[in-house]
Amino acid sequence: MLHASDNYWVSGLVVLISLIIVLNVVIAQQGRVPNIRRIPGLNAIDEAIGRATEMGRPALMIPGITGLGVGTLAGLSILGNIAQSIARFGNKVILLSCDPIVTGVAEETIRDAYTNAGRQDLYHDEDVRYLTSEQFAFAAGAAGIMNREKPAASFLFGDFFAESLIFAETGQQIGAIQIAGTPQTEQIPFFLAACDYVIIGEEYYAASAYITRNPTYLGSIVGQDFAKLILISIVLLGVIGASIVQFGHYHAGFGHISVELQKLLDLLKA
Amino acid sequence: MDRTIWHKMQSIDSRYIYAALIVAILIPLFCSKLVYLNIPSKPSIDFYNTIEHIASTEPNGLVIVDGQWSSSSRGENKWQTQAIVTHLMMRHVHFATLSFDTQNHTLTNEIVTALAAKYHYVYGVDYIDWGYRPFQAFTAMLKGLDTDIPGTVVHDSSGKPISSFPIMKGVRDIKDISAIIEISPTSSIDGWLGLVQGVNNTPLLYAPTAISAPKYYTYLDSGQISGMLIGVKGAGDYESLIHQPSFGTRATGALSFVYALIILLVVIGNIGHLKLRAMARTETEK
Amino acid sequence: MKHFFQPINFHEHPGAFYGHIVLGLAVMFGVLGILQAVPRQYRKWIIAVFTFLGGLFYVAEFFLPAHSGKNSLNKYDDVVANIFVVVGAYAIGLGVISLLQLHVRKVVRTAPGWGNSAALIISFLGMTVFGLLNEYAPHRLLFHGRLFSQGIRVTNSSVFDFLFTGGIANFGSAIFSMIAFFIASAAYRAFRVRSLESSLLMTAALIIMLGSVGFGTILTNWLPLGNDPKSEFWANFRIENIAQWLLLQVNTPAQRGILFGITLGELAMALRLWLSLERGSYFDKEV
Repeated sequence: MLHASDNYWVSGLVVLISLIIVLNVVIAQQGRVPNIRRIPGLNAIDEAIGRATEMGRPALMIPGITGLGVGTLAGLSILGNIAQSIARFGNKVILLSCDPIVTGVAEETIRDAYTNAGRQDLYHDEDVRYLTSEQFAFAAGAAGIMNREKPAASFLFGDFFAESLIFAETGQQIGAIQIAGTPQTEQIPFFLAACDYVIIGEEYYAASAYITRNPTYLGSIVGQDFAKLILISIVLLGVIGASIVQFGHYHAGFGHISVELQKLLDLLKA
Repeated sequence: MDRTIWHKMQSIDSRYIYAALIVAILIPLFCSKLVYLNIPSKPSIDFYNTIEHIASTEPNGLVIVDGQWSSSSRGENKWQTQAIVTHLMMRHVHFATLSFDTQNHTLTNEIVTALAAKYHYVYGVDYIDWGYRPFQAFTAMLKGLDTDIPGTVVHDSSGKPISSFPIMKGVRDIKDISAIIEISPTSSIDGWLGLVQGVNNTPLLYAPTAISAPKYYTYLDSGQISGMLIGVKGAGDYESLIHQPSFGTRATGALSFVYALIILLVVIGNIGHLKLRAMARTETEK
Repeated sequence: MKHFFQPINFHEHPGAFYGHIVLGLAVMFGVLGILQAVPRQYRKWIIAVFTFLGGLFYVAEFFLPAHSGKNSLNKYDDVVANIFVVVGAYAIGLGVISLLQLHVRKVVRTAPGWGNSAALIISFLGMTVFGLLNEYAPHRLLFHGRLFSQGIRVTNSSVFDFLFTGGIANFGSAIFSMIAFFIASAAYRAFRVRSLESSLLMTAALIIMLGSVGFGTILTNWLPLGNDPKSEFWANFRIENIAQWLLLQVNTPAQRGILFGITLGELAMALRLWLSLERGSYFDKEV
C-alpha cells in the first residue's frame, strides 16, 4: 500500500487504532493506571542479577544489531531498567553495541541507570563498547568478549538476525543465565533452544511497561489490547463471511448473499 | 554419583558433536557420485512455475532480480542466485539486477556475467544492471519504482542512462514488470510486500536463507508471495527442476546427512534422558 | 524547492558546492546556538517539535490526497532518503572515533589484551588506506618481481581485493558457518521429552527435518504422489506433505498471531516516539 487512497478501509483502521492507543496513553497519564499480568521471563531478571552478583561476575547486555529504531529503543528501555537493578546490587554491566549512534544512547542510558541507583562510581566508559557495524564481525567480537569476561548473566533485547544463535549458544557454553527478547520472530526458536527465558512477540514491547509500571507504557498496552480486539473481530467476521461465501457456491439459495459478502471481503484486501 | 552410560548419552561433549558434523557435511560434498532422492518442495515448484508462466506468456516481460545477500550468506543465496539466473537465461526471460548491499553487486555480477557468456545473453538487450544503491535509499527507491522506473533508477551501474538501452523500452512503471525476485537473508522483502507487490499484484518470488523462511509462509499462504526457494535446499530443488545440477544439489545431500546426524543425536539424548528419569522414579518409589 | 536539495556536482559547480557546505554548517551551528540560548525548560519542546515535523513528513505523504499515485510530497522522498544517508555517514565517524579512543588507550597503557587492540588499529588503518587507494589510484604498482619463479604484480587494487574479498568476506562466511555447529548442539540439548510442550516441539521439528531432505522422504516414498483423485488421500501421509501441512496450517497461524502483536507494539512505540510521549532515562533527561 503506497498511499491511503489505495484502500480507505485499511487507512481508516490504522487511524482508528492509532487514536485508541494515544487516547489510552493520555488516560493513563492522567491517573487511571491499569494492571498487567506477570511475564515469567521478566520475573527471572532479578534472579539472574542476583546470581551474577553472588558469583562476582559481570552482566552482559546486547541491544540488538540494528540502528536506532523502534526495536532497539524498546530494547534499550528494558536494558536501562535492568542496569538500574544491577547497579543497586553493586555489580558491573558490559553492553556491546553494533551501531555508533546506539552506543551514544546506550552510554547515556547506562550512566543514568547507575546515577539513579546512587552508584555512579561503578560506571566506567569502557563498559559500553562499540565493536563494529559488520554483523558477523560483531558476533565474533561479542563471542570473544563473552568467553574472556565470562558474564554470569546475559540479557539480549533488541533486533537480532542470523547471529543470534552465536550469542545465545556462547552464553550457554560459558554457563550464563540468559534472558532474551526480540521482535524478529524467526530468531525466537534459536533463543528458545539456547536461552533460559525468552520474551516472545509483543511481550517484548510490554516488557518496559511491566518492569517500570510507567503510566505511559501501561496505557499503551491497554490501547494495543483494544486494537487487538478490533482486529480479532475483523478476522472472525472475515472467517464467517468467507464461510458463507463458500457455502453459497454450493447452495443456490445463498448465491445472492455470498456475492455481496464477497464484495465486502474484497474491499478489505489491501 | 557414577556417570553411567545413560548420563553420557544425554550429555555428549560438544566437540564430538562438532567433529561428527564436519564429517557429515564433508562426505557428500566430496563424494559427488552419491545419489540422493530429492523431491522439490511445493514453494520451490511454485517459484519455478511462475517463471515458466512468464516465459510462455510474456516473452518480452522484464523481471527485477534484487539481491541483498553478501559473502556471509553466500552458502545459500549464491546458489539460489545462480539457479534462478540460469533458469531466466535458459527461458530467455529479460531481467534487471539491483543491489542494496555493498558486496552483493560484485557477487551477483560475477554470476550473471559468467552465465551470460554461456547463454549468449547480451547486456542492454537481454539483461541490465541497475547497479548498487545504499540501503538507506531502499524505501524511496521502491516507492519510485511503482510510478516511474526510468526516473527512479536513472543510470545503470556504468553510469549510462537506462532509457538508452533496448531492454528498457516501454518500461515505465511497476505495471510493466512481470515479476520481482528477492534474494535476501534479511527481511527486506517486507518493503517489497508493503510498497510494491500490492500496487499491481506483481508476482513476488522470494529466495531467503532457511532461517527466515518460516515467517514468510504467511505471505505464501495469502498469495502475496508466489513462490519461495528455501535456503540451499531450495537451490537444490531448483537445480533439479531446471536439470542443471550444481553445488546446490550436492549441498542438499550434505543437508540430508546433517539432519540424519541431528536426529540420531536427539534420539540418543532422549534415550539417556528417559532412562535416567525412569531410574530416578524407581529410586523414589523404593 | 526540490532543486535546492539535489546533489551538486563539484566539478561542474564548485561555487554552489562550497556554498551549500557553508550554508549547511551555518544552519547546523545556528540551530545548536539557538538550542543553547533557549532556557532549559523549552529545549525539550523544541526537540519534540522537530521530532514531530520529521515524522509528519511520512504521515502527510501517506494521507495527503494523491493524483495518479503522487502528491506534492512524493518528489521529496529521495531528498529525505539522502538526509538519512548523510546522518548515517556522520554515525560512521562517531563509531570510528569511539573505537580508536578505546583501543589506542589500551595500547598506550599496555593494558591486558593490548595486543588485540594493536591488531585492530593496524587492520583498521590498513583497510582505510588501501580502500582509499583502491578508489583513487587502483592500478598503481606497489611491487613487481618474481616469487617462487612466478611473476608477481601487486597493485593497490589487488591488495584491497586480498583484504576485502579474501579477508573480510571470507571471515564473515566463516562466522556464519559456525551457526551450523551451534544449531546441532542446541538441537541436541533442547529437543528432550521433558513435558508435553517440549515433546510436541521435538515431534514437529523431527517431522519438518525428515520432510525436507531425501533421507526422510525415502521413508514414505512408497505412498502414492497424489496425481490422481484415487491416490490423493494417501498422498497426505507422505512425510513431505505432513511437513508442508505443519508449516502452512500450524506455523503460519502462529506466526500471524505473533505478527499482529508485534506490529501493534511497534505502532504504539512509534506513536509514542513521534508524539514525544516516550518516557525513560534517555527521554526524561534534561537537555
